[in-house]
Amino acid sequence: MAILVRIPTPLRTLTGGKDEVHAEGADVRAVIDDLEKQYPGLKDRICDEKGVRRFVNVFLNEEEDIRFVDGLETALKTGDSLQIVPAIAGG
Amino acid sequence: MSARVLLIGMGGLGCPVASILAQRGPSAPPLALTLLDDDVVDGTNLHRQTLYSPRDVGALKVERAAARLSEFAAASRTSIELHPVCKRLTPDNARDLVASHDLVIEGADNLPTKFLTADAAALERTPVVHAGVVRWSGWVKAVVPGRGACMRCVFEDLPADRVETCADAGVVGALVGVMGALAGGLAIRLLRGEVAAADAITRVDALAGKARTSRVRARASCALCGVVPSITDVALARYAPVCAGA
Repeated sequence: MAILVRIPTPLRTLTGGKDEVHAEGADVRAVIDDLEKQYPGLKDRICDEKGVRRFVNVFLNEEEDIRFVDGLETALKTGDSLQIVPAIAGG
Repeated sequence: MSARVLLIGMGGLGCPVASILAQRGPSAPPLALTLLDDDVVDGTNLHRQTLYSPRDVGALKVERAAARLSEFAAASRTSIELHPVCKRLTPDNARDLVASHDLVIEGADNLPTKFLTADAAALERTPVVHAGVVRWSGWVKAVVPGRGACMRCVFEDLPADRVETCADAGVVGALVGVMGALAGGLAIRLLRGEVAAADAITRVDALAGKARTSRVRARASCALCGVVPSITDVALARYAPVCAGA
């Protein structure tokens, strides 16, 4: 199923400037893998060998941190959206 | 007795936060505000660091900010004591500085200082407001020890790779003001005892024209505030590279 994924500013160089993209997958892991096929290099900015990178958050439907659901195995359904939120340093 | 607030960083975020606190008006409770920064005003700061003017270039930020804020406070009849401190936050001084205040507001321009602030505040059981902004995006979060997520619940640790800062990636000046205003609002809510302010993180994407507030929860496995915290001090090595300055 197609999932809307909101891309933060620092990662938009990899999506051709798009702030919203669609990817296919029944869970978060599958969606990230599909994002990698469409936009090579994106997965490495979100995940490392242990899972979602420590300074990155992934929210489900703007509300739920996936770490409190099932992490990368969080199931998705039609109409769901994911938001990738990295730590931002500037001030 | 006046509430004591420590404002870390008198840059793009610190300026609007301090302006808000210095202009709360005559009915607001008195406040003691410590301004912490060791930097001087640079011409490249002026588009977003709104307390400074071209004639301030080269002067200490905390001194120029204190002078300007005094004018604001007098004009608005706001009761505020200003304490400019020309220092940067380091592992050596962080816990003492935090412990001597009732609230910390962090507007640092680098992640090591943000994490150091988060750790010191948690260890001293002091509420803190965090904010960060770069390019067109920003985030702001209040933290109340023992209630909800701390910064490490949300952003667990420093990245191994370098992260963009305003100096190298740039930042939209007006957005910094927006994030500073949001941070100032959270600070005022905490000063009023509204601990529910700590239950969410707010993110703004000015280019997309969107702002979102998401509920965040404390993680039981958090190294700082979890069930078995592993962070029990502010060891220098944890914040490498050494904090670049507040």
